Amino acid sequence: MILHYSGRHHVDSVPGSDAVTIRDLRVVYDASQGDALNCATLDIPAGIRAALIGPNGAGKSTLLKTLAGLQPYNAGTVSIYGRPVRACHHRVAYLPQRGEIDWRFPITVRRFVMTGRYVHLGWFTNPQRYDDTLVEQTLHRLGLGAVADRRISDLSGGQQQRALLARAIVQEAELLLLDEPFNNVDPETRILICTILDELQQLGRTAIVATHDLSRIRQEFDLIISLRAGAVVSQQAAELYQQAVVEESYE
Amino acid sequence: MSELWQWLIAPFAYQFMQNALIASLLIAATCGIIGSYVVLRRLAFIGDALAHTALPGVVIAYMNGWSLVGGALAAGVMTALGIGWMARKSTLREDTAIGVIFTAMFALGILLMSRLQSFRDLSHILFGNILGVQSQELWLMTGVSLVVLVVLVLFHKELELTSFDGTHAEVIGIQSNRLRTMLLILLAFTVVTGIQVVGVVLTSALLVTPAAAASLITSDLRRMMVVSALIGAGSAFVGLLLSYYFAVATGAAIVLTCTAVFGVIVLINWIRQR
Repeated sequence: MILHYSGRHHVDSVPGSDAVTIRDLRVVYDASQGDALNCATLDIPAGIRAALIGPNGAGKSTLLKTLAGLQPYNAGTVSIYGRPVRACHHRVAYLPQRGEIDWRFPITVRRFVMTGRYVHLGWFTNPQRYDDTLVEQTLHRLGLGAVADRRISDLSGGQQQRALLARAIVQEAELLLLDEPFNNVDPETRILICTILDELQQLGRTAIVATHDLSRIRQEFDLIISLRAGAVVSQQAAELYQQAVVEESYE
Repeated sequence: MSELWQWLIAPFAYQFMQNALIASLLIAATCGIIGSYVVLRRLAFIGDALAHTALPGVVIAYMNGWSLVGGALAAGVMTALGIGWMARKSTLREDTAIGVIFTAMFALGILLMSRLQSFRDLSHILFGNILGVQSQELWLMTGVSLVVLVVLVLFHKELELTSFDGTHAEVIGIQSNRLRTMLLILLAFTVVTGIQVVGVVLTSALLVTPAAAASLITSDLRRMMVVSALIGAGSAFVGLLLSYYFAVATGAAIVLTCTAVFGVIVLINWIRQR
Protein backbone atom coordinates (compact mmCIF):
# COMPACT_ATOMS: atom_id res chain seq x y z
CA MET A 1 0.00 0.00 0.00
CA ILE A 2 1.26 3.47 -0.83
CA LEU A 3 0.71 6.34 1.59
CA HIS A 4 0.70 9.25 -0.86
CA TYR A 5 2.08 12.60 0.26
CA SER A 6 -1.23 14.16 -0.68
CA GLY A 7 -3.54 11.17 -0.51
CA ARG A 8 -6.88 12.63 -1.46
CA HIS A 9 -5.49 14.69 -4.34
CA HIS A 10 -4.06 11.76 -6.27
CA VAL A 11 -6.43 11.63 -9.24
CA ASP A 12 -6.26 10.54 -12.87
CA SER A 13 -6.24 12.97 -15.78
CA VAL A 14 -9.27 13.65 -17.96
CA PRO A 15 -8.78 11.68 -21.22
CA GLY A 16 -8.19 13.82 -24.29
CA SER A 17 -7.67 17.03 -22.35
CA ASP A 18 -4.99 19.61 -23.08
CA ALA A 19 -1.86 19.55 -20.93
CA VAL A 20 -2.54 23.10 -19.77
CA THR A 21 -5.71 25.18 -19.92
CA ILE A 22 -5.69 28.69 -18.49
CA ARG A 23 -8.65 31.09 -18.32
CA ASP A 24 -8.45 34.65 -16.95
CA LEU A 25 -5.52 33.88 -14.66
CA ARG A 26 -4.28 36.68 -12.43
CA VAL A 27 -1.32 36.55 -10.06
CA VAL A 28 -0.58 39.58 -7.90
CA TYR A 29 2.51 39.73 -5.65
CA ASP A 30 2.15 43.31 -4.55
CA ALA A 31 -0.98 45.31 -5.39
CA SER A 32 0.99 48.53 -5.97
CA GLN A 33 3.07 46.89 -8.70
CA GLY A 34 0.17 45.59 -10.78
CA ASP A 35 -0.30 42.03 -11.99
CA ALA A 36 2.71 39.73 -12.04
CA LEU A 37 0.70 37.60 -14.44
CA ASN A 38 -2.49 38.37 -16.33
CA CYS A 39 -3.28 35.66 -18.78
CA ALA A 40 -6.69 35.60 -20.46
CA THR A 41 -6.46 32.39 -22.46
CA LEU A 42 -3.71 29.86 -22.91
CA ASP A 43 -4.08 26.29 -24.18
CA ILE A 44 -1.08 24.03 -24.49
CA PRO A 45 -1.95 20.69 -26.10
CA ALA A 46 -0.50 17.49 -24.69
CA GLY A 47 2.59 16.08 -26.35
CA ILE A 48 4.28 19.26 -27.54
CA ARG A 49 7.38 21.23 -26.63
CA ALA A 50 6.52 24.82 -25.82
CA ALA A 51 9.00 27.65 -25.33
CA LEU A 52 8.19 30.53 -23.01
CA ILE A 53 10.07 33.64 -24.08
CA GLY A 54 10.15 37.25 -23.02
CA PRO A 55 12.35 39.70 -21.16
CA ASN A 56 13.23 39.42 -17.47
CA GLY A 57 10.20 40.08 -15.30
CA ALA A 58 7.78 39.11 -18.08
CA GLY A 59 6.24 36.43 -15.86
CA LYS A 60 7.86 33.28 -17.26
CA SER A 61 8.92 31.91 -13.87
CA THR A 62 5.63 32.98 -12.29
CA LEU A 63 3.68 31.07 -14.93
CA LEU A 64 5.77 27.92 -14.43
CA LYS A 65 5.45 28.16 -10.64
CA THR A 66 1.70 28.60 -10.94
CA LEU A 67 1.47 25.46 -13.07
CA ALA A 68 3.64 23.58 -10.56
CA GLY A 69 1.29 24.62 -7.75
CA LEU A 70 3.98 26.65 -6.00
CA GLN A 71 2.44 30.05 -6.67
CA PRO A 72 -1.08 30.74 -5.38
CA TYR A 73 -3.16 32.76 -7.85
CA ASN A 74 -5.69 35.46 -7.23
CA ALA A 75 -8.27 34.78 -9.92
CA GLY A 76 -9.07 32.57 -12.87
CA THR A 77 -8.82 28.86 -13.52
CA VAL A 78 -5.84 26.66 -14.32
CA SER A 79 -6.21 23.03 -15.35
CA ILE A 80 -3.48 20.46 -15.83
CA TYR A 81 -4.73 17.55 -17.94
CA GLY A 82 -8.26 18.67 -17.11
CA ARG A 83 -7.72 18.69 -13.34
CA PRO A 84 -7.00 21.52 -10.89
CA VAL A 85 -3.40 22.44 -10.15
CA ARG A 86 -1.85 20.16 -7.48
CA ALA A 87 -4.39 17.41 -8.19
CA CYS A 88 -1.83 15.42 -10.17
CA HIS A 89 1.44 15.79 -8.26
CA HIS A 90 3.09 12.82 -9.90
CA ARG A 91 2.22 14.12 -13.37
CA VAL A 92 4.07 17.42 -13.04
CA ALA A 93 7.84 17.80 -12.74
CA TYR A 94 9.28 21.24 -12.08
CA LEU A 95 12.92 22.05 -12.71
CA PRO A 96 13.70 25.25 -10.77
CA GLN A 97 16.43 27.66 -11.65
CA ARG A 98 19.53 26.11 -10.17
CA GLY A 99 19.86 28.72 -7.40
CA GLU A 100 16.81 27.39 -5.57
CA ILE A 101 18.58 24.23 -4.41
CA ASP A 102 21.18 23.99 -1.63
CA TRP A 103 23.91 22.33 -3.70
CA ARG A 104 26.26 22.15 -0.69
CA PHE A 105 24.01 19.63 1.05
CA PRO A 106 25.80 16.30 1.58
CA ILE A 107 23.99 13.99 -0.83
CA THR A 108 25.25 11.92 -3.74
CA VAL A 109 24.11 12.51 -7.30
CA ARG A 110 22.45 9.06 -7.32
CA ARG A 111 20.40 9.81 -4.22
CA PHE A 112 19.54 13.28 -5.52
CA VAL A 113 18.08 11.78 -8.70
CA MET A 114 16.25 9.19 -6.59
CA THR A 115 14.24 11.98 -4.94
CA GLY A 116 12.31 12.07 -8.23
CA ARG A 117 10.86 8.67 -7.30
CA TYR A 118 9.59 9.82 -3.90
CA VAL A 119 6.22 10.95 -5.21
CA HIS A 120 5.56 7.32 -6.24
CA LEU A 121 6.93 5.86 -3.00
CA GLY A 122 5.08 8.05 -0.49
CA TRP A 123 5.65 7.96 3.27
CA PHE A 124 7.62 5.21 5.01
CA THR A 125 8.67 3.39 1.83
CA ASN A 126 12.21 3.03 0.60
CA PRO A 127 13.18 2.71 -3.06
CA GLN A 128 12.64 -0.74 -4.57
CA ARG A 129 14.58 -2.54 -7.29
CA TYR A 130 12.57 -0.92 -10.09
CA ASP A 131 13.43 2.53 -8.72
CA ASP A 132 17.14 1.67 -8.49
CA THR A 133 17.19 0.36 -12.05
CA LEU A 134 15.38 3.37 -13.45
CA VAL A 135 17.71 5.79 -11.65
CA GLU A 136 20.78 3.88 -12.87
CA GLN A 137 19.59 3.88 -16.48
CA THR A 138 18.72 7.55 -16.37
CA LEU A 139 22.07 8.53 -14.82
CA HIS A 140 23.84 6.80 -17.71
CA ARG A 141 21.49 8.24 -20.33
CA LEU A 142 22.39 11.72 -19.09
CA GLY A 143 26.11 11.08 -18.87
CA LEU A 144 26.19 11.17 -15.07
CA GLY A 145 27.21 7.54 -14.53
CA ALA A 146 30.80 8.47 -13.66
CA VAL A 147 29.78 11.04 -11.06
CA ALA A 148 26.86 9.08 -9.53
CA ASP A 149 28.63 8.63 -6.19
CA ARG A 150 30.03 12.15 -5.99
CA ARG A 151 28.45 14.91 -3.95
CA ILE A 152 26.12 17.24 -5.83
CA SER A 153 28.41 20.12 -4.81
CA ASP A 154 31.14 18.64 -7.06
CA LEU A 155 29.01 19.00 -10.21
CA SER A 156 29.53 21.62 -12.90
CA GLY A 157 26.63 23.86 -13.93
CA GLY A 158 25.82 21.64 -16.91
CA GLN A 159 25.96 18.50 -14.77
CA GLN A 160 23.66 20.08 -12.19
CA GLN A 161 21.13 20.83 -14.92
CA ARG A 162 21.41 17.26 -16.20
CA ALA A 163 20.89 15.93 -12.66
CA LEU A 164 17.71 18.03 -12.40
CA LEU A 165 16.49 16.67 -15.75
CA ALA A 166 17.35 13.13 -14.65
CA ARG A 167 15.23 13.62 -11.56
CA ALA A 168 12.29 14.82 -13.68
CA ILE A 169 12.68 11.79 -15.98
CA VAL A 170 12.63 9.24 -13.15
CA GLN A 171 9.53 10.96 -11.82
CA GLU A 172 7.90 9.76 -15.06
CA ALA A 173 5.98 13.01 -15.17
CA GLU A 174 3.81 13.85 -18.15
CA LEU A 175 4.27 17.59 -17.93
CA LEU A 176 7.79 18.97 -17.48
CA LEU A 177 8.26 22.60 -16.48
CA LEU A 178 11.82 23.80 -17.05
CA ASP A 179 12.92 27.22 -15.82
CA GLU A 180 15.94 28.47 -17.80
CA PRO A 181 17.59 25.07 -18.31
CA PHE A 182 20.07 26.53 -20.83
CA ASN A 183 21.51 29.14 -18.48
CA ASN A 184 25.25 28.66 -17.96
CA VAL A 185 25.42 25.17 -19.41
CA ASP A 186 28.01 23.80 -21.81
CA PRO A 187 27.00 23.25 -25.48
CA GLU A 188 27.01 19.45 -25.03
CA THR A 189 24.51 19.65 -22.17
CA ARG A 190 22.33 21.93 -24.21
CA ILE A 191 22.22 19.48 -27.10
CA LEU A 192 21.59 16.59 -24.69
CA ILE A 193 18.68 18.40 -23.01
CA CYS A 194 17.07 19.08 -26.40
CA THR A 195 17.57 15.48 -27.50
CA ILE A 196 15.94 14.24 -24.31
CA LEU A 197 13.00 16.63 -24.70
CA ASP A 198 12.62 15.29 -28.23
CA GLU A 199 12.61 11.70 -26.95
CA LEU A 200 10.09 12.56 -24.24
CA GLN A 201 7.85 14.10 -26.88
CA GLN A 202 7.92 10.81 -28.82
CA LEU A 203 6.54 9.24 -25.63
CA GLY A 204 3.69 11.76 -25.58
CA ARG A 205 5.11 13.93 -22.79
CA THR A 206 4.72 17.70 -22.72
CA ALA A 207 7.48 20.20 -21.94
CA ILE A 208 7.21 23.91 -21.20
CA VAL A 209 10.58 25.62 -21.19
CA ALA A 210 11.32 29.19 -20.13
CA THR A 211 14.35 30.37 -22.08
CA HIS A 212 16.33 33.39 -23.14
CA ASP A 213 18.22 31.51 -25.80
CA LEU A 214 16.48 32.05 -29.14
CA SER A 215 19.21 30.86 -31.49
CA ARG A 216 17.70 27.47 -32.39
CA ILE A 217 14.22 28.00 -31.05
CA ARG A 218 12.44 27.10 -34.29
CA GLN A 219 14.11 23.71 -34.48
CA GLU A 220 13.91 22.89 -30.80
CA PHE A 221 10.27 23.72 -30.06
CA ASP A 222 6.80 23.27 -31.54
CA LEU A 223 5.02 26.19 -29.94
CA ILE A 224 6.39 29.57 -28.96
CA ILE A 225 4.62 31.61 -26.29
CA SER A 226 5.81 35.15 -25.90
CA LEU A 227 5.20 36.98 -22.62
CA ARG A 228 5.61 40.63 -21.79
CA ALA A 229 4.75 42.40 -18.53
CA GLY A 230 2.81 39.38 -17.31
CA ALA A 231 0.64 39.00 -20.40
CA VAL A 232 0.77 36.59 -23.33
CA VAL A 233 1.51 38.77 -26.38
CA SER A 234 1.69 36.01 -28.97
CA GLN A 235 1.38 32.29 -29.26
CA GLN A 236 2.17 30.47 -32.48
CA ALA A 237 3.63 27.41 -34.11
CA ALA A 238 7.42 27.47 -34.15
CA GLU A 239 7.81 27.05 -37.93
CA LEU A 240 5.71 30.16 -38.50
CA TYR A 241 7.74 32.14 -36.03
CA GLN A 242 9.52 35.24 -37.30
CA GLN A 243 12.71 36.51 -35.73
CA ALA A 244 11.31 40.05 -35.97
CA VAL A 245 8.42 39.18 -33.67
CA VAL A 246 10.84 37.67 -31.19
CA GLU A 247 12.99 40.75 -31.21
CA GLU A 248 9.99 42.99 -30.82
CA SER A 249 9.01 41.19 -27.62
CA TYR A 250 12.38 42.08 -26.14
CA GLU A 251 12.15 45.79 -26.84
CA MET B 1 48.12 -1.67 29.37
CA SER B 2 46.20 -2.96 32.37
CA GLU B 3 47.08 0.24 34.19
CA LEU B 4 45.46 2.32 31.45
CA TRP B 5 42.47 -0.01 31.55
CA GLN B 6 42.20 0.48 35.30
CA TRP B 7 42.42 4.23 34.83
CA LEU B 8 39.60 4.08 32.28
CA ILE B 9 37.17 1.89 34.19
CA ALA B 10 37.92 2.69 37.85
CA PRO B 11 35.59 5.74 37.98
CA PHE B 12 32.67 3.63 36.83
CA ALA B 13 32.69 1.46 39.93
CA TYR B 14 30.32 4.05 41.40
CA GLN B 15 26.61 3.87 40.63
CA PHE B 16 26.36 7.62 39.98
CA MET B 17 29.22 7.43 37.46
CA GLN B 18 27.54 4.51 35.68
CA ASN B 19 24.31 6.46 35.42
CA ALA B 20 26.21 9.51 34.24
CA LEU B 21 28.04 7.48 31.59
CA ILE B 22 24.89 5.85 30.20
CA ALA B 23 22.98 9.14 30.18
CA SER B 24 25.74 11.18 28.58
CA LEU B 25 26.53 8.58 25.88
CA LEU B 26 22.85 8.29 25.00
CA ILE B 27 22.18 12.01 24.95
CA ALA B 28 25.37 13.04 23.21
CA ALA B 29 24.71 10.48 20.47
CA THR B 30 21.10 11.65 20.00
CA CYS B 31 22.19 15.28 19.95
CA GLY B 32 24.84 14.38 17.37
CA ILE B 33 22.28 12.75 15.10
CA ILE B 34 19.61 15.45 15.17
CA GLY B 35 22.45 17.99 15.26
CA SER B 36 23.27 17.05 11.66
CA TYR B 37 19.98 18.66 10.66
CA VAL B 38 20.69 21.60 12.96
CA VAL B 39 23.94 22.25 11.10
CA LEU B 40 22.66 21.59 7.57
CA ARG B 41 19.39 23.51 7.99
CA ARG B 42 21.08 26.34 9.89
CA LEU B 43 19.00 25.85 13.04
CA ALA B 44 21.82 26.49 15.54
CA PHE B 45 20.21 29.65 16.82
CA ILE B 46 16.84 27.94 17.22
CA GLY B 47 18.49 25.08 19.12
CA ASP B 48 20.01 27.58 21.51
CA ALA B 49 16.65 29.34 21.88
CA LEU B 50 14.86 26.06 22.63
CA ALA B 51 17.37 25.30 25.39
CA HIS B 52 17.05 28.74 26.98
CA THR B 53 13.26 28.83 26.88
CA ALA B 54 13.18 25.58 28.86
CA LEU B 55 14.29 27.56 31.93
CA PRO B 56 10.96 29.23 32.82
CA GLY B 57 9.22 25.88 32.22
CA VAL B 58 11.51 24.20 34.73
CA VAL B 59 11.20 26.97 37.31
CA ILE B 60 7.40 27.06 37.11
CA ALA B 61 7.29 23.28 37.42
CA TYR B 62 9.61 23.46 40.44
CA MET B 63 7.46 26.11 42.14
CA ASN B 64 4.36 23.97 41.71
CA GLY B 65 6.03 20.70 42.58
CA TRP B 66 5.52 19.28 39.05
CA SER B 67 8.02 17.19 37.10
CA LEU B 68 10.99 19.36 36.09
CA VAL B 69 11.56 17.43 32.87
CA GLY B 70 7.84 17.74 32.13
CA GLY B 71 8.04 21.51 32.60
CA ALA B 72 11.07 21.74 30.32
CA LEU B 73 9.37 19.59 27.67
CA ALA B 74 6.19 21.68 27.76
CA ALA B 75 8.15 24.92 27.41
CA GLY B 76 10.28 23.45 24.62
CA VAL B 77 7.34 22.17 22.60
CA MET B 78 5.48 25.46 23.01
CA THR B 79 8.54 27.33 21.77
CA ALA B 80 8.92 24.96 18.80
CA LEU B 81 5.27 25.48 17.81
CA GLY B 82 5.59 29.23 18.37
CA ILE B 83 8.65 29.44 16.12
CA GLY B 84 6.83 27.47 13.41
CA TRP B 85 3.85 29.79 13.68
CA MET B 86 5.97 32.93 13.65
CA ALA B 87 7.89 31.77 10.58
CA ARG B 88 4.59 31.78 8.68
CA LYS B 89 2.85 34.85 10.09
CA SER B 90 5.37 37.39 11.23
CA THR B 91 6.70 40.24 9.16
CA LEU B 92 9.82 40.34 11.33
CA ARG B 93 12.79 38.30 10.22
CA GLU B 94 12.61 34.91 11.89
CA ASP B 95 15.92 35.17 13.77
CA THR B 96 14.96 38.60 15.09
CA ALA B 97 11.62 37.35 16.39
CA ILE B 98 13.30 34.35 18.03
CA GLY B 99 15.95 36.59 19.57
CA VAL B 100 13.27 38.77 21.16
CA ILE B 101 11.17 35.88 22.49
CA PHE B 102 13.89 33.63 23.80
CA THR B 103 15.78 36.26 25.75
CA ALA B 104 12.49 37.36 27.30
CA MET B 105 11.64 33.79 28.30
CA PHE B 106 15.12 33.25 29.73
CA ALA B 107 14.90 36.51 31.70
CA LEU B 108 11.50 35.41 33.02
CA GLY B 109 13.10 32.16 34.17
CA ILE B 110 15.91 34.02 35.97
CA LEU B 111 13.39 36.41 37.53
CA LEU B 112 11.28 33.56 38.89
CA MET B 113 14.41 31.77 40.12
CA SER B 114 15.52 34.83 42.05
CA ARG B 115 12.23 34.77 43.96
CA LEU B 116 13.00 31.28 45.24
CA GLN B 117 14.98 30.53 48.38
CA SER B 118 16.86 27.60 46.88
CA PHE B 119 18.56 29.30 43.97
CA ARG B 120 21.29 26.65 44.02
CA ASP B 121 18.97 23.74 43.20
CA LEU B 122 18.10 25.27 39.90
CA SER B 123 21.64 26.19 38.97
CA HIS B 124 21.80 22.57 37.79
CA ILE B 125 19.47 23.61 35.03
CA LEU B 126 21.89 26.29 33.89
CA PHE B 127 25.05 24.20 33.99
CA GLY B 128 23.89 20.59 33.92
CA ASN B 129 23.93 17.92 36.58
CA ILE B 130 24.94 14.71 34.89
CA LEU B 131 26.48 13.27 38.08
CA GLY B 132 23.13 13.58 39.84
CA VAL B 133 21.06 11.64 37.31
CA GLN B 134 18.68 9.19 38.99
CA SER B 135 17.77 5.82 37.50
CA GLN B 136 14.20 7.00 36.96
CA GLU B 137 15.36 9.99 34.91
CA LEU B 138 17.58 7.65 32.95
CA TRP B 139 14.53 5.73 31.77
CA LEU B 140 12.84 8.94 30.72
CA MET B 141 15.92 10.02 28.75
CA THR B 142 16.11 6.64 27.07
CA GLY B 143 12.47 6.93 26.09
CA VAL B 144 12.89 10.44 24.69
CA SER B 145 16.00 9.43 22.73
CA LEU B 146 14.21 6.41 21.29
CA VAL B 147 11.22 8.47 20.18
CA VAL B 148 13.50 11.03 18.52
CA LEU B 149 15.53 8.37 16.71
CA VAL B 150 12.51 6.37 15.53
CA VAL B 151 10.81 9.47 14.09
CA LEU B 152 14.05 10.57 12.38
CA VAL B 153 14.40 7.13 10.78
CA LEU B 154 10.75 6.96 9.66
CA PHE B 155 10.80 10.40 8.04
CA HIS B 156 14.42 10.32 6.90
CA LYS B 157 13.92 10.69 3.17
CA GLU B 158 11.41 13.50 3.47
CA LEU B 159 13.44 15.40 6.10
CA GLU B 160 16.52 15.03 3.92
CA LEU B 161 14.69 16.25 0.81
CA THR B 162 13.11 19.28 2.49
CA SER B 163 16.55 20.22 3.87
CA PHE B 164 18.06 20.90 0.45
CA ASP B 165 15.14 21.29 -1.94
CA GLY B 166 11.91 22.47 -0.37
CA THR B 167 10.58 23.40 -3.80
CA HIS B 168 10.60 19.85 -5.13
CA ALA B 169 9.07 18.64 -1.87
CA GLU B 170 6.20 21.12 -2.27
CA VAL B 171 5.67 20.16 -5.92
CA ILE B 172 5.24 16.49 -5.02
CA GLY B 173 2.84 17.36 -2.19
CA ILE B 174 5.04 17.29 0.94
CA GLN B 175 4.26 20.14 3.32
CA SER B 176 7.74 21.34 4.24
CA ASN B 177 6.40 23.60 6.99
CA ARG B 178 4.82 20.75 8.89
CA LEU B 179 7.96 18.65 8.63
CA ARG B 180 9.98 21.58 9.90
CA THR B 181 7.69 22.01 12.90
CA MET B 182 7.97 18.29 13.60
CA LEU B 183 11.75 18.57 13.47
CA LEU B 184 11.63 21.52 15.89
CA ILE B 185 9.51 19.50 18.33
CA LEU B 186 11.99 16.62 18.16
CA LEU B 187 14.72 19.17 18.70
CA ALA B 188 12.90 20.49 21.78
CA PHE B 189 12.74 16.92 23.17
CA THR B 190 16.45 16.40 22.50
CA VAL B 191 17.42 19.73 23.98
CA VAL B 192 15.55 18.99 27.21
CA THR B 193 17.60 15.82 27.65
CA GLY B 194 20.75 17.71 26.66
CA ILE B 195 20.08 20.18 29.47
CA GLN B 196 20.56 17.32 31.97
CA VAL B 197 24.08 16.76 30.69
CA VAL B 198 25.56 20.18 29.98
CA GLY B 199 22.85 22.62 31.07
CA VAL B 200 20.82 25.27 29.29
CA VAL B 201 23.79 27.41 28.39
CA LEU B 202 25.89 24.76 26.65
CA THR B 203 23.29 22.47 25.08
CA SER B 204 23.61 23.95 21.62
CA ALA B 205 27.28 22.90 21.65
CA LEU B 206 26.22 19.23 21.83
CA LEU B 207 23.95 19.84 18.83
CA VAL B 208 26.33 21.83 16.69
CA THR B 209 29.96 20.90 17.39
CA PRO B 210 29.96 17.11 16.72
CA ALA B 211 27.78 17.56 13.61
CA ALA B 212 30.00 20.37 12.33
CA ALA B 213 33.05 18.13 12.77
CA ALA B 214 31.28 15.25 11.01
CA SER B 215 30.23 17.47 8.11
CA LEU B 216 33.91 18.05 7.33
CA ILE B 217 34.69 14.37 6.77
CA THR B 218 31.64 12.74 5.14
CA SER B 219 29.60 13.31 2.00
CA ASP B 220 26.38 11.55 2.93
CA LEU B 221 23.81 12.61 5.50
CA ARG B 222 23.38 9.14 7.03
CA ARG B 223 27.13 8.69 7.45
CA MET B 224 27.38 12.20 8.85
CA MET B 225 24.79 11.30 11.49
CA VAL B 226 26.70 8.17 12.52
CA VAL B 227 30.05 9.97 12.70
CA SER B 228 28.49 12.85 14.60
CA ALA B 229 26.91 10.47 17.12
CA LEU B 230 30.28 8.74 17.62
CA ILE B 231 32.09 12.04 18.13
CA GLY B 232 29.43 13.15 20.62
CA ALA B 233 29.45 9.89 22.57
CA GLY B 234 33.27 9.68 22.53
CA SER B 235 33.56 13.23 23.80
CA ALA B 236 31.01 12.51 26.53
CA PHE B 237 33.12 9.54 27.72
CA VAL B 238 36.40 11.48 27.64
CA GLY B 239 34.82 14.54 29.23
CA LEU B 240 33.39 12.45 32.05
CA LEU B 241 36.82 10.94 32.76
CA LEU B 242 38.50 14.35 32.69
CA SER B 243 35.97 15.79 35.08
CA TYR B 244 36.47 12.81 37.43
CA TYR B 245 40.27 12.94 37.53
CA PHE B 246 40.76 16.69 37.42
CA ALA B 247 37.69 17.67 39.43
CA VAL B 248 36.29 20.05 36.82
CA ALA B 249 32.71 20.73 35.73
CA THR B 250 31.46 17.74 33.71
CA GLY B 251 29.33 19.63 31.17
CA ALA B 252 32.12 22.03 30.33
CA ALA B 253 34.64 19.17 30.04
CA ILE B 254 32.36 17.32 27.58
CA VAL B 255 31.79 20.41 25.46
CA LEU B 256 35.48 21.28 25.33
CA THR B 257 36.33 17.71 24.31
CA CYS B 258 33.89 18.08 21.40
CA THR B 259 35.55 21.35 20.51
CA ALA B 260 38.99 19.72 20.62
CA VAL B 261 37.84 16.96 18.24
CA PHE B 262 36.43 19.60 15.93
CA GLY B 263 39.73 21.52 16.09
CA VAL B 264 41.77 18.43 15.23
CA ILE B 265 39.55 17.66 12.22
CA VAL B 266 39.79 21.23 10.98
CA LEU B 267 43.57 21.06 11.35
CA ILE B 268 43.83 17.74 9.47
CA ASN B 269 41.63 19.11 6.69
CA TRP B 270 43.76 22.21 6.46
CA ILE B 271 47.01 20.23 6.25
CA ARG B 272 45.54 17.92 3.59
CA GLN B 273 44.44 20.79 1.42
CA ARG B 274 47.81 22.50 1.46
